[in-house]
Amino acid sequence: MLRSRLAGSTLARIYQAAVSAAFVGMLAVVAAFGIESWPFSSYPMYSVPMRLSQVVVWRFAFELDDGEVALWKPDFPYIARDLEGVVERSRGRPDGAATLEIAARAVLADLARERPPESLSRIRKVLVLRRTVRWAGNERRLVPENRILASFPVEALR
Amino acid sequence: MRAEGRLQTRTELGNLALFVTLFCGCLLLQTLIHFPEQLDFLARRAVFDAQLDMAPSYLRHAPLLGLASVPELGRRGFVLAGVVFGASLLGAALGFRTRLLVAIALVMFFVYFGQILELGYVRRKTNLVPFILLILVMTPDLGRCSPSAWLAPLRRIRQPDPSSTPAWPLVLVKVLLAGSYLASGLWKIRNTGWSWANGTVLQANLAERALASDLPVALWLASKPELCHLASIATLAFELGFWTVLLVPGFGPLYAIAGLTFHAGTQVFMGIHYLTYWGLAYLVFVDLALIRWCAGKLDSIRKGP
Repeated sequence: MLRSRLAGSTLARIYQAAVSAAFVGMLAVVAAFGIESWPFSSYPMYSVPMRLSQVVVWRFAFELDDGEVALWKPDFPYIARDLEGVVERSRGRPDGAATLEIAARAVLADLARERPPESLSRIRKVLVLRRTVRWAGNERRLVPENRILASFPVEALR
Repeated sequence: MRAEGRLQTRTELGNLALFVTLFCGCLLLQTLIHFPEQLDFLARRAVFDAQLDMAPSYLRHAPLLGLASVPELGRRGFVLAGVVFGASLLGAALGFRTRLLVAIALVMFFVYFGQILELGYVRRKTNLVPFILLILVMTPDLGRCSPSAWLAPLRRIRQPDPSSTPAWPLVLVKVLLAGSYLASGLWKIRNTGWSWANGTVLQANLAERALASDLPVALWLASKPELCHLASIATLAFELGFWTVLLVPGFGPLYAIAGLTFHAGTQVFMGIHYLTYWGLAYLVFVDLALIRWCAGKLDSIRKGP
């Protein structure tokens, strides 16, 4: 009986050591080789050198009937994140403007799902903005700076 | 509570049972809370993708372990996957056929979350969940874990429960957390060097998050280089030092407070939502000793000096 308990205990220790080693080894390999394969990640986000002057963000916005510009704030930011790829793909290509126009149309379609039609009637143009930051107020605070990359009248998108 | 300067080998069975109940129960709760939104996301993505022909984007149908693609489910399939996932978690939390139901939850995790990986609070933030479920499946005493295993010792007496179990499954959950933070910290050193701590990288990332996600508070913090410097030092110290919790398990709750504060900070200032799913791993720091300690403190406050 003592022998079987000992064997059980030894087996339990071997099992524990094997499982623990497998997990620790997995973490070490994923971290060392920077493996990014779901559900593995080495969490390298925000690690690369970057300066304020390099910050560029692309956003969709709407020009309203009173001239005000309102940023598009999708409930699901992944859509906005993919916009960067869309803009990058469209640049310097003969069909670049058409690609952006399709994206603008998709934005309008998405907006129509969550807003009442009367609020959409105020929109005159869909804009693609290039956003950066600059220092203001004797360099004490950062402010956003927007530049219009493309502009699409709503009538043309419908 | 006391700080022990060595790795734990045994723990009360109630601690393991408490973690199973809390982890499965809270994961179920998060799934229920976010289910309508996740279902809406599927519909919205379909509209957007149809217009823009974006699929396959860089995240769509991410291959599981880099090998096999998770099949795309329709609306009904997604609902069914959610129901099975939720029911397995509920059963496991209640101690009914725990090992089998945790194993089913593990499989269903990939089916369910494989559909919605683009969501900001799902991508990478759920990565610990399958590994924790896998650890639980491999835990020797999982069959003995039920709410009564931790409720009984708490009700009976405020003394440690004599029935013990190997502590390694709970230690491994802490290893997962510590290893992930260590990897993140080491990548910062590898890609930028120790100069990451001077605050300029964090400042630029804060500005980017501010512009992308409309976070005025992020732009405010980015405008304060000294605070960015301090936050960067704190981040590196946290990420590179979290593993020391394995050496001083008695200080676990303090590490948990530090970790949750760190994630609350990134949520407020950067709009990065790690608390929803990743935060569940921190439940490993809730144990019977902590509950008894809190109960003792409450008693002494109630009785007065």
